[in-house]
Amino acid sequence: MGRKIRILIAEEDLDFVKMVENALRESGGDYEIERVSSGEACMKKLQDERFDILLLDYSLPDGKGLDWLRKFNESHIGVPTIFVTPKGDPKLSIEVMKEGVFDYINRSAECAKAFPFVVSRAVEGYTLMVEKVKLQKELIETKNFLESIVERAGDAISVVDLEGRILYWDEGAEQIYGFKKEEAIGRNLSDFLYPREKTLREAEEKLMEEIMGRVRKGEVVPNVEVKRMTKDGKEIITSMTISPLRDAEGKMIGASRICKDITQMKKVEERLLLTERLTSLGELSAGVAHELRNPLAGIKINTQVLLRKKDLPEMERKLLESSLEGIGKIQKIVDDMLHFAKPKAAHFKEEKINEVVESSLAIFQNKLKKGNISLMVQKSEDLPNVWIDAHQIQQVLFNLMLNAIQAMEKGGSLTIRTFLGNGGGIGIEVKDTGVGIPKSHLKKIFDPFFTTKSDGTGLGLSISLKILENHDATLEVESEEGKGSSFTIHLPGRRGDAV
Amino acid sequence: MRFKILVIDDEPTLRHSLEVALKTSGYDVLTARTGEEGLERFKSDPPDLILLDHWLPGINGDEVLRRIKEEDSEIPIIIMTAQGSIEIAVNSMKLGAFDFLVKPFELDQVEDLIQKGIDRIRLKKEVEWLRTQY
Repeated sequence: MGRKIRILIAEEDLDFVKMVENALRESGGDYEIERVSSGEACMKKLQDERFDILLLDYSLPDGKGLDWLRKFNESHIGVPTIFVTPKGDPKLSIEVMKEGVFDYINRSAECAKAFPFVVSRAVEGYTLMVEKVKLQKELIETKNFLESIVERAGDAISVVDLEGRILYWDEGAEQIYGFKKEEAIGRNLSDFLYPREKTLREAEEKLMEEIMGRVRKGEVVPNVEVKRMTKDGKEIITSMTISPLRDAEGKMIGASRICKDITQMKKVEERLLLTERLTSLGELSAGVAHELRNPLAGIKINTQVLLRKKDLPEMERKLLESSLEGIGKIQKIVDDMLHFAKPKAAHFKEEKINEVVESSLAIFQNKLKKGNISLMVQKSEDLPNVWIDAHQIQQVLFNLMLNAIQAMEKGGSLTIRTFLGNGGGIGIEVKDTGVGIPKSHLKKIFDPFFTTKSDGTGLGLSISLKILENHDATLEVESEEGKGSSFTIHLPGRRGDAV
Repeated sequence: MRFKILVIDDEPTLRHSLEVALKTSGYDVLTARTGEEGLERFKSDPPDLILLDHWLPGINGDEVLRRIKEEDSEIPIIIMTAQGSIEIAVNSMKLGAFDFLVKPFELDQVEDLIQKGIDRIRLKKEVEWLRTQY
């Protein structure tokens, strides 16, 4: 310690004081000593000034040292105290130690000589004690601080040991995965969080093995996207950061994992990507369509000029007619492409959705009958009016219904349902019991020109999606191979409209 | 009397096919590949009716339409477009086009329109002739 050690001595016995002072001086330390001879004076000094050490005698003119010690403690005077006891009173020594004195010395010449050591021991001990209390306080604060961050982060935070068993599972994890602490702790992650589907599961296991390999080498692996399964069987995508967890000695004992549920974000991202792709494809299509129409116009006229010849042999006539048919098909594709690239300007009006649905159904009656398909229409009454271009929404419904019918070549049932959605919006579901869409196709069905039908242009759904986007509406698809598909349109409610 | 039709289009297939088709139908046909060439043709050998592509290299169809109408406000001009948007149709009508065809059109369609245009020209000429008789 660089500064002087201030010592207050409360002692009547001047001889003993002298001995103590001599001993301190001889020790070569830097001390500043003050002396008082009564408990009262000692109390006052302690209240006014700061001392590093108090040497307190067991007996003072105005009372017992022990009583004064208790008084000091009651007044929260925190000074490391060394108590002077009479020779051969071990009971008193124990009593004062209980009161929290740092040390005690006998009133003897030998003890006076040893006093500097006692002082330095006391000073050091006291400093350490203060430091310890401070650190403990800081530790608790830090712990509370971290806990409050961790618990309220909303992210799933978990800790696993080196075997992959869960040691810690926070509220966020409970919320994201649906598993409670008691259900998760002690179990192995891969037993209940991985996707059930075999290939997905294997992919995840491989990925995690690789990541854990890196973590074991001490690496922090940030933002890995992984697929997980919640308790109610929902597939979610999380972004996970895994860091090695070490004990106080720096030995690796496991890994901490912070996971954010990014399923929603991924969906939006995908939709955005799709929109971008559709836009650029749209521009391309418009250009291509335009370029195709010009020569096609010439070919069409040529063919028609030739077909007018009266003495045309039968075979030539057939060939020309088939060419004309081909031209018709190209023309239809080109028209669809252009429509996709530049949908006709929408004319929004307030409409009753049930009427729009009803009128879209009319054209299909024949097809339904022929295809042995039963139709179920579940219209929710009291729906608010919607602000749409009825013609365009009809076109979307037409596309969805046609797809549904084509998916049910062996017959089945087509369900059209209207319902009140969240936030005052309206939902229209078109559901079939057809062949369903393979998982690998689900992402592509909105791509222009993607089709599995021999006579399809692959533009129906992309045009539909575009129209719906113009309506601020969304289209949701659910499909299971062999069971059927369901397409649900969500039209937004009119703002400030409470019809 | 044979009527003369000017076809302005940069697509050779369509230009040739219209030339053949319309000649077969009994018209005289002139062709031009660009708006500039079309304007020259129009001045050097004035036609009775014009088939004009909307999208042309160099000066575009709208501009060709405007310049021809400045010279001769009566001549029927039929706009042909590969884009087929309402906006283009409306705009062409405002500029004085006689009618509008979206490529690829039917032979019957283009013949009908030409017939209508020619009828109108004939009618106008008759009216003018009659007027001179007074």
